[in-house]
Amino acid sequence: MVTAVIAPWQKSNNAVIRTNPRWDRMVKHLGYISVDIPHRVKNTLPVAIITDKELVNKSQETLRKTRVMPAYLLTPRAFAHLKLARAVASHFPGITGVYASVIPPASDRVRTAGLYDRGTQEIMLHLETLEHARSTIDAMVHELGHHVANMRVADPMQAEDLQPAHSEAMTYVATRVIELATQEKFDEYLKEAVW
Amino acid sequence: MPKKQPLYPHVPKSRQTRVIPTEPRRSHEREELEFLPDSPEILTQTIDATGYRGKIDNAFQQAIARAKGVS
Repeated sequence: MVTAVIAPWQKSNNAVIRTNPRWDRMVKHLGYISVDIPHRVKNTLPVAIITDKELVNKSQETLRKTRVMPAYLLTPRAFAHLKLARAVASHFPGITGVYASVIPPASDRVRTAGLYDRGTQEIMLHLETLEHARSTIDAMVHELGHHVANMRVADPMQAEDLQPAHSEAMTYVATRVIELATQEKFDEYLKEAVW
Repeated sequence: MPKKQPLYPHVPKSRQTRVIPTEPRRSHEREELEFLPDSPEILTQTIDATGYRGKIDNAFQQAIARAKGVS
């Protein structure tokens, strides 16, 4: 009976049990898919398969182990790009810090290149992200999108990935960053930059 | 702050109807995410989705050339 129920998605091992549609976007973001299961097997199946909430909680706990890297441990290139990232952030009020970090993978399926800490309003950039100005700017536009959306909307959920408020905020940030780059606001930070 | 008044002051509290919820109350756990992590692939995809990929590349490549005195 149970086999028949789980058969359609048994082929993939990236399924978690949906307990709340609220986690669907985050589950997808972590490289998994949420599936509904009948109530009658809901109490026994979680022994073998974790739920969406457990996946998200585990991810959040793992991300708590993010470690900030001091400047003297960075390569000259990463340090130059970190200064560029901080210069970009200085044009967006409310950001309390931008740090080079070692960020653990958000799940066993996805790596973490950048992270926005909603509580402290800090942006963490992984060391690999800082190796190129292009990935640094991409991460900054995305994470600042979270920050701007977070400031604009009443419901924090609306500032998360794949939400219209985040997409709109990213578009605003991208436009502003291009404008500032064209106005030569970042030139002094780009002398050692590698696109 | 005015003092809270009962909805039905004429009915004694002991005789007011009590409603038993049919479903368990939701816990007050915070369902907000503290950390919003992004993979390299998501960063690339979302930048592409804004439609500003080319403009960002162009603006910064020109700025880098200018900063290095190449242009």
